[in-house]
Amino acid sequence: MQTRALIITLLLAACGNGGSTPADAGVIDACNGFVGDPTQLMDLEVVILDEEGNITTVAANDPVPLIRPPQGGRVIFAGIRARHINTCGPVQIIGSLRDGTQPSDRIVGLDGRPVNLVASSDGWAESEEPMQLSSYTNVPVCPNAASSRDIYGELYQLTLGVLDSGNRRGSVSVMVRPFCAEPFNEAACRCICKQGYVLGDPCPVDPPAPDAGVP
Amino acid sequence: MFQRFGAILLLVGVVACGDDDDFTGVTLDPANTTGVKFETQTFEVPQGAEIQDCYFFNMPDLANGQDYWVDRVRLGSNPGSHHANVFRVKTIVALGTPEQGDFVHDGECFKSGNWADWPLVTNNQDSSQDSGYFDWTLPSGVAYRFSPGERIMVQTHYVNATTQTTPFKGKVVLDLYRSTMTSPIEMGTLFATQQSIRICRSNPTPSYHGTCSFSSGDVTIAAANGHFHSRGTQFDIFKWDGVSVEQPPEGERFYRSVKWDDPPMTIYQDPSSMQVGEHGGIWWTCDYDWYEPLAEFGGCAALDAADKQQAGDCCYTFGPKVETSEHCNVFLYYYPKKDRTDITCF
Repeated sequence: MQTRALIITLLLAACGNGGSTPADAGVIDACNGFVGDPTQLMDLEVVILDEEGNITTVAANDPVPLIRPPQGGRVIFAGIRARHINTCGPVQIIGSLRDGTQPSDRIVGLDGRPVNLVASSDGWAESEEPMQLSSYTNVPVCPNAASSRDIYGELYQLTLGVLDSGNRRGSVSVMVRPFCAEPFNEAACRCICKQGYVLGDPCPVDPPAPDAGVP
Repeated sequence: MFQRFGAILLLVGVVACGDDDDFTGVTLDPANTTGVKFETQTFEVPQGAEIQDCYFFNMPDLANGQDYWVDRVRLGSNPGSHHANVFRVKTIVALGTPEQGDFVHDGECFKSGNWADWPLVTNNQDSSQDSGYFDWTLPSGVAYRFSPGERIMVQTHYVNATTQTTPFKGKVVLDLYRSTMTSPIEMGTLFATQQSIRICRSNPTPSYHGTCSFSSGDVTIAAANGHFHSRGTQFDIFKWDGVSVEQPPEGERFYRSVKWDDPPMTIYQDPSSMQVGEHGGIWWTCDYDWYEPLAEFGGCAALDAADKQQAGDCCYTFGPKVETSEHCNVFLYYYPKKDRTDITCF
């Protein structure tokens, strides 16, 4: 029994994502790193990192925070929870915000990046480093010349696309309502996220985030 | 035979010692008699140093107070240049203040947030000794528009360290040639940067994607180049329809760089193949391959100390220092410019 536990531990470590995996993690097929059932289609949820560092699963028509990232402007930090997914190796995710629901409607912002997922206690895979901004797509939405409406207070379609290391694909879309989430720079947010804003137009001073909140 | 050997030795000595006795460096074009000229002083780039300088000047009045047009640019850099960028100055944050005058050395000149809304004019990443000039006559009928008194920043970045060296001294020259056209098509620029990047030991070969839209579409891409540092392995730019969330097909790719320290500036001669439709834009991808940071620059300890996320994963993050940080930037030139300003995506 001890030998078996050691082997499982070593296999998890070899995957590079086993360090914090709880003992009752979901179904993990050694270094195939598969979380869930490989015969099932990938199941995805959109999660959001908010301005206070909270992580929440997004439901239809939920408000989602517009946050000033280190690179400036405003982004939505959007990530995934997933099952029936291969987590051995980085998962490539692409987050996008669409001005409408039709495939012909314009993309307002898009960001693609690799993330490492680990099995959680409920059988889903989650970000290995959930407090890291880089574990989420930094969907850049302000300033923006592509949208026909203000970014805040309006419904947009948020989509997360996933490609795992086994070349399995998945995608999930949900309607969300972005809002300026940081009180200390709300005036600047509402200025640069307003429809028609052009970079360089006069806006209130956009102070950087204080030390608290999103890391 | 001896004389020939002696000549070879002399050449080796010049290159090895950085002696610039026989090196003339880049110079302004004496034939540019009606346009705008700017040159930096010639400056030392000490061994182990990275120098980034910001120079400012005002566009002269060449048309009795009226705007005027420029249809050829010539931006030259002595070898060793990491980049030379030219921007139009807009919002002043902490760079280009009246107190700083016309020259800022390092410091605020290294902080990209200071020029976040400054439209690109032109750029040059040619670090070779063979050329050194980006000399571009714009497509027929196309020109940049400038206003008299408009503030311009010329930013130079020289590296004389391990991944890049400066064999002689630093110097940059800029010639802007005045156009005789009365109503040309206006050249626009697009600067796009993917700043939330991390190239870490635990995830050593990441790819990052970004998109940037032309707000009005129906434009023609005239030239492009990509910029990253030595972990960068491949930089691709595609035409993008503005609505797809998958990477465009290979047939839409119009730019590739696999040489981080001397990336191509690609000029597109056939405008018919470079048109982007309404609501379209670009999709760009930066691929990286992590390697152990050099001990002389502090190794992983230095990267970990600089990592704002304190991940302890020896991550190269976005930043201007060639040896210890990474970039993922697109410089692109298109026409016609339809909007009030050039395009910046970040």
